[in-house]
Amino acid sequence: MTPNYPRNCWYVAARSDEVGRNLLARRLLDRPVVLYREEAGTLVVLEDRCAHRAYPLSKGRLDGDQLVCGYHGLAYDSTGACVRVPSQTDVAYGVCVHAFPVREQAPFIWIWMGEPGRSTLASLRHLPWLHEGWASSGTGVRVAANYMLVHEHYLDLTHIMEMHRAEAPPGLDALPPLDRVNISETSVTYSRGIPPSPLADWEAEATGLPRDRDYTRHYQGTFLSPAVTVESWDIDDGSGELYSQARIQAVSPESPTSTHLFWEFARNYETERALVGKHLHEVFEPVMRQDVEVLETIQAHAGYEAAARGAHVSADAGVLKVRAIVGTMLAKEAGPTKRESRAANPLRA
Amino acid sequence: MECHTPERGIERTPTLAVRELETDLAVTRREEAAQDVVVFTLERPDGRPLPEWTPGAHIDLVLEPSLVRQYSLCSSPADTTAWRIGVLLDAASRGGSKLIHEQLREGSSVCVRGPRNHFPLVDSPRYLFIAGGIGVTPMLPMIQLAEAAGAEWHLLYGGRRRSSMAFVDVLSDKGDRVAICPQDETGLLDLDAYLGSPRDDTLVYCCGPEALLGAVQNACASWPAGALHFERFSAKPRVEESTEGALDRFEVICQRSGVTVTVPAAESVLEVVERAGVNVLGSCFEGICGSCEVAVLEGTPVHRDSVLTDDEREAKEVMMICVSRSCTERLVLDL
Repeated sequence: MTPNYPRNCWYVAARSDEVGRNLLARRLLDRPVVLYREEAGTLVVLEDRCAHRAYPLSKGRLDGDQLVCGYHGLAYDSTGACVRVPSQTDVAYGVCVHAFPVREQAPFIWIWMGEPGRSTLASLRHLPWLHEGWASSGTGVRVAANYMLVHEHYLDLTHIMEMHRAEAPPGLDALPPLDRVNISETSVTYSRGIPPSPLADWEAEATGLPRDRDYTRHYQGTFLSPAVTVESWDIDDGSGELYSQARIQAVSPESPTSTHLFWEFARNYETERALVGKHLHEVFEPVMRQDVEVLETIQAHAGYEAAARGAHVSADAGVLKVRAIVGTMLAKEAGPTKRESRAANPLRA
Repeated sequence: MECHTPERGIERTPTLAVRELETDLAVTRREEAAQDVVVFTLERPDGRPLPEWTPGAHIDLVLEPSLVRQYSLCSSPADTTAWRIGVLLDAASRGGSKLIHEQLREGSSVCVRGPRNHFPLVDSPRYLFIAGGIGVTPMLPMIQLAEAAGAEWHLLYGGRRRSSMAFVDVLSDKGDRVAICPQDETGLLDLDAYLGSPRDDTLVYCCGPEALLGAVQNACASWPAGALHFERFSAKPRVEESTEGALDRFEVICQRSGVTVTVPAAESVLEVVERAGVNVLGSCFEGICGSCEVAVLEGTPVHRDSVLTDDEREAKEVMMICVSRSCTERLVLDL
């Protein structure tokens, strides 16, 4: 399929703790990149392909701050310029590999794969759940499915009653409809209140709240950009204190049919108690892996384009707005001659 | 001028409440930018970041529930702490710009909806920006993006008098990329010099009064399809033929929610489907803001809006349900 991911966007390239004095090879937006840190800790992301004979630079070695190709020994600096050709005195003119704009906000390293100059006008998305007042843990997985399948999965929570009954609030037959979808030019936020019901096992164990009464929850999800979707789940104990947890899904296309998912689970309570974090991680990482299995099955069975042509129901309001936002970004990048249709039409498709 | 919309949708609604982001912002700066032009800086009172936007985007100022005005963002898209808008005091004001000039001070609060964008900057190696008067506001972030992307660009900026033209100082720094043309000094814009020879590597972005848009549209007649993009200040004068074939009564099927309604002559599609409990977006109710755009799945709309381009009208894939109607007995909409 034609790539359906915008290039002019900050995507997560890696988790901070994956990158050090090692050479990390990764494919992003169908381009190979290599990530490492200079001796002083500065991040470098270069095209993972020697300008000479296309050997992956990630199979080479670091010599101080220079990256040396493992084939003929050409050495590159952090700007991607070739600074040494061992077999000659002077460096051949103009030899270089692409150096990508990169920014770090732990636990994520962000990369800009589009035109470098445009990165200066785009800011990183604000992710307060990963900072003060919250504790989080996460992991990265490769998903053999288009990145929009991953987004659209997290944009519609109604699957949990079928797929994750044990983690859903007990006693409900179905989730109530979304009560609000808020849209702006680049983002979509959707929310629903959950009627009072007893605690699910994980909720009781993580929060320590008494099980002998009902609690209301508030669910909110936000598509922040093609690179990240966040959901929050607030349990109200009635005293005005909210026990909040957030799932951050950084979704980075690897290729048109595969995705790197950087999954992070955060909470705003018991932030000092590592055991609570470990417990939540142990409950929700398997949930994420079950989700991944479904997405990989759809990709193998039908592919994203077929899935996107499916019928729409009311719960898809958020998904449709997100498709419109991404469609506009793609149309802008395609230029005037290849204008995409403004609207996806399931009946005319 | 604070937001009036209740926090939660009315409980009877069986389907989903889709709303544009609506929030009260504080005016943190008010600057006289030219004669009758005031530039306002707006920020969240709690200092949280504002939503991202891209060049060409505009916001609504909701002055009263029935008094809503659109203004292009003229700040940098990189700045998520503040938005800036330029507001011209319109002599023929229907109340909006007068109220804003008289009442919005530093420290005032104003209800804002959006942003949304019907004037997006499509990637191109070369741009020609044409602005008339306050139509220069969306061009400022567009120029920033063109420069960041390494594109070549020129701005042709007309106005009545130099003193009535905002941002002349910052634009003068751009050298000969910018032609500043006050009418009392240089006459009408020399569109022929800029548009006389069509180019296939250039996109034309124009914002200004109706007369300028009409002149640019004529001058671009032989340019490639899709080269000209423009944004209007107000509803386009109604063209009689656009109502041809419009039915007085027709049926609308809202596909996703499974609701069917009949639209009579005296009411708009938007009014009727909203009353049936299908939540829809709407802001200007006169076909200029584009927020009520809906995909048409079956049937043929009769367009009466000022948003869609000729290509988009012809494609009949979407319609603005606040003003547009149908020439088929049945319209199936993506609602």
